[in-house]
Amino acid sequence: MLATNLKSLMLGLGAVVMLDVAYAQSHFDPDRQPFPIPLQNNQIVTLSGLTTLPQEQWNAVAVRKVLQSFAFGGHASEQQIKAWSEMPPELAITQMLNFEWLSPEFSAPDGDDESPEFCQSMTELQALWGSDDPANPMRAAERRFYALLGPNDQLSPVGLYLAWSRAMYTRGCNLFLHKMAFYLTNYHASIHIQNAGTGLIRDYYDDTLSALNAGEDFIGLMLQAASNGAVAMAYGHASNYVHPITGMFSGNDDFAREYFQLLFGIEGATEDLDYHEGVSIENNAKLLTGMAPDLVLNRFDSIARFDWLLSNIDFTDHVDSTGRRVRNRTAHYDFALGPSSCLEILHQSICGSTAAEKLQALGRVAAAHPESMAAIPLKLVRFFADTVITPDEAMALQLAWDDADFDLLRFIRAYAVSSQFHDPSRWKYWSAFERNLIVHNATLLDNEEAFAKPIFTDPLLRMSAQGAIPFAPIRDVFGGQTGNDAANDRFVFKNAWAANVETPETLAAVSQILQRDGSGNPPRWSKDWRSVLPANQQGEYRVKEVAEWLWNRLITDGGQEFDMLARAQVYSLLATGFDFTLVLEFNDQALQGQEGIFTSADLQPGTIANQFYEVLAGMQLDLADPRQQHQLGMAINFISMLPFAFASGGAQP
Amino acid sequence: MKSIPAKSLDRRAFLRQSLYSSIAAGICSSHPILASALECQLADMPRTLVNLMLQGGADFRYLFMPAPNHPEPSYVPLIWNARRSLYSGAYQSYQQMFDDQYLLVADPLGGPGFGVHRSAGWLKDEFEQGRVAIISNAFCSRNRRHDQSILNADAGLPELGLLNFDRSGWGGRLVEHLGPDHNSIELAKGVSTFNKGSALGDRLAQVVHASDMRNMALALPDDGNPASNRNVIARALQSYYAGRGPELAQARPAQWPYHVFFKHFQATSSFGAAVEQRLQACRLLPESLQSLNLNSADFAQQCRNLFDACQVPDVLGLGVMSMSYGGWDSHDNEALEIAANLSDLFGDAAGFATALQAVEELPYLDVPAREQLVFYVASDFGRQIVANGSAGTDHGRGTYSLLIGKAVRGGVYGEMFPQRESNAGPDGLIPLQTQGADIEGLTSTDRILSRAVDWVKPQAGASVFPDAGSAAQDPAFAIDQLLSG
Repeated sequence: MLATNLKSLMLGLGAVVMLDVAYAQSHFDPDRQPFPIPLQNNQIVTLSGLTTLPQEQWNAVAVRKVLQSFAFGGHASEQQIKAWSEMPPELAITQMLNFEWLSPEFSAPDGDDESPEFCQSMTELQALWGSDDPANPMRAAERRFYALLGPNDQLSPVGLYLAWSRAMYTRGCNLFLHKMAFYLTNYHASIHIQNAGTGLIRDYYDDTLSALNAGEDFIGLMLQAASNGAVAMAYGHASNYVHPITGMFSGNDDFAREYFQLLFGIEGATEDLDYHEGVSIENNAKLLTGMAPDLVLNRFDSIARFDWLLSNIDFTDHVDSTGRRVRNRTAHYDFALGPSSCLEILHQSICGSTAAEKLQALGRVAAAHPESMAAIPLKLVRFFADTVITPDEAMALQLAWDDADFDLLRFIRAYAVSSQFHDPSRWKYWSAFERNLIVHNATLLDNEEAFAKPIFTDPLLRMSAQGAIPFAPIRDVFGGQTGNDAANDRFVFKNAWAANVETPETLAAVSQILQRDGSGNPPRWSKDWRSVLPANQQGEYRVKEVAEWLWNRLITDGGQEFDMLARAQVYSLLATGFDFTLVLEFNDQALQGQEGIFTSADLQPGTIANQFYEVLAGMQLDLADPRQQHQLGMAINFISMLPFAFASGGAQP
Repeated sequence: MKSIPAKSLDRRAFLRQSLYSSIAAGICSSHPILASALECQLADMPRTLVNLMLQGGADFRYLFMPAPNHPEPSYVPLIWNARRSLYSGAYQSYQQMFDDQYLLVADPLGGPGFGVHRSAGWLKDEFEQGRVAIISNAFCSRNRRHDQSILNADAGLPELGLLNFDRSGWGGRLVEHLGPDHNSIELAKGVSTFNKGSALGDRLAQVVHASDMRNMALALPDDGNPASNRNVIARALQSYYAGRGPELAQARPAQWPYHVFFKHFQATSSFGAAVEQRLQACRLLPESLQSLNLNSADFAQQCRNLFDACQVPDVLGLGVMSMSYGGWDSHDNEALEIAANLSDLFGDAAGFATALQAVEELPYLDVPAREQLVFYVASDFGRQIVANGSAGTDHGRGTYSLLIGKAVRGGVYGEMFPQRESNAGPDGLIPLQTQGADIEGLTSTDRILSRAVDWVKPQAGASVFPDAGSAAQDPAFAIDQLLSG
């Protein structure tokens, strides 16, 4: 239903796309320099169990692998990638992966676009992109789709989906910070927008961003999740209470159970089953009492009361701004005992006056539980980087997690520059979120392009057709689409193929009228790959060199799978805008392959097809011609639909 | 760049058709039935088991409740007290609630009458026609965790304790036993462990993902302008996948992670097109299915897929199908949540009622398709028998299993509402008065499934469920009784 509504929305826009191929002015600045790189010895990241990649193996391909795995590809310039590759990896990673609001080396703010200032909050981003604020870079006709309120004066889930997707390719937004927040809210401590509501789930995401930026460790992040009103509403324990007089518990044990399993990876395998079920889980249910969120009258100007809920729970007895009496203190277990109110959970006495205080105490116990220490590093690595973790790799990761002392950033950094991550045999299937955003980030050159293109070129449409909608995880509290899900789903493959075949302009368009404020003559955005694509030493753009540059921009295998059959198509698309088969046929040569299918043998030296292959490889592109700019986009459509765009790693020895 | 001459366009069209035919021919060498895919022809439906997974842990105790005159006098008051909060506070008595919420049915096997929830009117009718076997006190896992229990259910291994999704499912093992011309057909959006086969690195070898039977084909070059951007990209990709795929199939090890995408190409470019073309030559979707409007649009699509699958049993290689319906984790507001779910599945003129009526009307050679379908209804686990404080129920273990089909010997197997639940146990506690108490599982589901699989193909059960022979079994009934034939 969600995907259908999104598609209808896009089709019903009625926007007219002018895909003229006007002449584009070059704006490549030969004087651009990498950013200054301060070296700070106290930021060196090494952990037991993980070996830092040797300097000689730390190269541009390695840097791109990190950017793809941890930040949807990121927005670093070619010069920056080169600069990082020339630094010691354990220092480079501190610039690459951090939880700062702005990370200029990683994703520099673009021109005068003010969007990055709002990247610390999806609420603020939506408020900007859905408004008539003069600083809003959004196309005028599309702003309403990003607005906080929908046409029914209630919070719009579609606006949230669109805003999140757009933030993931807006320069200036720290994509590592956002990908980590996405993991925590859509996979690790996942809830579904249908259960939490748009306002609360957006708050949950924003709260998570803030917690990451504030430097919270894993325990702090789990406390943030466990004590969040969005989670309480989604699981239903917002209504849990212990009768202040009879002491009878009323509620359910849903989050009481999933708190252990999902937040901390404690399945009870090392516990006595009866104790885990009858004591830990049941007592945790009693802990999760007195957690009703407040309402803020007319929050967001929504007419729906559910939209007024606040994620930040006030654990006292009080009256909220709607006049509602909230008794979170007296509804909590044994509230009269104050800080001495205790429950036995995981063989420990967990004490505190409120659910928040008890959760703070319990979080330290749960995080240190042997099952959690074993499971959490594997959950993290499976999501970001490795579909199949061997027992030896698992042991190394667990050692590293132990050494990291719950410092999530330190663990991720150490892993990202480790020999384990950079082992050629490591591989991970991309989810539809990852694959589409990586391609989009590799294809868009700046925020002007990002905001110039019509809304129906947003990767959200493709992601949703491929089973991936943010904040609507397919497994509800068990998380969203994984890479494994995407890889094993033939319809994901079929739909991805259809997207590139049926709408190639999404990635190939080179010009667009940009109507921002509905007044005057609208400017025209034009694409110029020369702003990022380096010419060779003769100042030329040779097809073979451009092909390899494009391949490396999208596929981080160092060109290992860029074989002759793939090259033939890419050379042909770049040089002519047509596929290799059509080019051969047009030139009236006998096809070496059978009915347009070529084998590698058909392209070997001595064949007619090989002659064309070599000629195409050596052709020079005139990138002052917009049609040839378009041909790079056609090549990207081809490359991004190859198997190697659906996963990372798995290189052959 | 000069324009493409007209003669080349004609030649391109010829080459395109030749390319398609050659791909189809290549597939036909291993799937002879595809040679006839381009015309509608009747094909008998083989015996086919359809696994319906209710994801989240379905509360079958809400679907079935004891009649007010249940023979054990203490049971009804206790269960009413235990579960009263699930129903409207307006009900003054169990009788009043039962009359309003349930449809009374008699057990053809002589057990006590009981109620089927009103939202499941079709199921009630099927039961009265002797087509529904309710196996009480079953278990598919020994834990209360969603992920482990669903894995146990999909694998058909109730005692499995390892959480490893890279393994075979019982559906995959069944089709392996049936032979290479058979496939596990997934009608829902996601391929689950249920479908997976035994071959490491190639577990989808005998899986057909049919989440949209009328839209399975890959976007290949069409008859439009060969120089259009669309056809250029389609041709480039087709040429690469068709040419490079066979090379890498030989050159790379079986566990190479990228094989799967070449297999997707092969399946969707030839097989998917063949299915679509056959369906277009055969019956359109009946109006009843086209306009089927359920709470779950996803399940409505699965019902359409079910009908279409029955039109092309030979093309698909039927024997096993998989369906699923989520949203059964009813920790709060259970009545609201699962009544809607039950209505979608088992309601009058709802999902199964509509789909199976349409299947009933399909032409056939020897045996009607409807008679060749048996549905097995599974879930992660059952739920606790005492409601929680949120008008819902929490995770339990024991559950009910359902078998539905014309080959089923209908009735209640085992004690539907066990007396032990209303008596004090060794710990002095009465389960129906004890938070946390659940249905005691007496029959391992692999026993049930083994019997069902034997119906599909005699003696297949021992192969697909090798441990079933020693698995737990309620002595109150004989497993062989569940199905005829």
